[in-house]
Amino acid sequence: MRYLFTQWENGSPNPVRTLTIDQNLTIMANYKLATKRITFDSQPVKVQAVIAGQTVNAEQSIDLPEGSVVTVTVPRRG
Amino acid sequence: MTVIFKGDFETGDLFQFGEVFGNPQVIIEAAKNGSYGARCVTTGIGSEASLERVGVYKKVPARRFYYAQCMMKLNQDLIADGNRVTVISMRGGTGPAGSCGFKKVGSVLRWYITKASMQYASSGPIVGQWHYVELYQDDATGGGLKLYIDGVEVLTQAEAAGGFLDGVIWGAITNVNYAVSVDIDDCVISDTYIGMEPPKPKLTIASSPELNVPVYVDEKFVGNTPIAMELPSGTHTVRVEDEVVR
Repeated sequence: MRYLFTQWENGSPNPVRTLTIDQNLTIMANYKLATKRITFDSQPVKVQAVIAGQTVNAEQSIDLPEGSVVTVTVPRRG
Repeated sequence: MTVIFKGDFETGDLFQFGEVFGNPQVIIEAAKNGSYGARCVTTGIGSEASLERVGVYKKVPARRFYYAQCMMKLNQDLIADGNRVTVISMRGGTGPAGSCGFKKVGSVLRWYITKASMQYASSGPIVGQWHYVELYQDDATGGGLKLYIDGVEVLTQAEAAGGFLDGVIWGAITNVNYAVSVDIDDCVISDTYIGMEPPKPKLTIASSPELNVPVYVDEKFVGNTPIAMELPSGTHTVRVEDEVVR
């Protein structure tokens, strides 16, 4: 899984920061999972799919973790 | 405080000192601060009648009193009661003045000072741990010895006879008949109390979620999160990877 730096605990979005250290200090680098947007559609009828456990309508998009393997389930009959 | 002498072995050799006893090794593994320290390993020829000496000596101008300090680490425990190691020995003329070290007493390591007599503290060195060892001697009648361990006065002894001090030995001076290993670093002689260096501020870096992210401080890789390190006070740059694959 790929993770992307988002911000430091002070809100700074730059993964490089300058600190003045004169006492004990704890800093936290925050990351988020990289995702890809998946758009589902069906033709000629609009059906719902279940993608990675989520119900998705036709022409609807969801964000899924990049590199993940998911199961897509659609109804046998539309 | 006037530092009269400082020997930190950072030259990578023993040339900061005037005389060497035995075969102390200036090595990276014996460093407490900087790159080098001295490992003093005895060969096992010591006895109470004839102490074995492995260490370094520095001659200084003769005067009534000095403070002498070093960082010291005992690398393995002493085996038997009565086994002892002197770590700092003040010299006056051709002979020893006061000294300090540790001894196995009642199966426990205990710090000691000695000149007129040997006195023991209730505690001793922790094997594998660095300690600040500082000996003060005022070699005049009415003066005395004081031993400070990690900034705390643990022993004091009155001085009975007058004299002068003109040198210090640091290392392992021992009565044991087996190999003892002591590391020393940052040897200092001063005319006032030296004490401990103030603790450096600690920087702790973590990530959320915790991803063991590589961390660079002042553009030097220091490890992966979560990580904590002491840094000199001042301005530093911290960089983490902007993309991590786990």
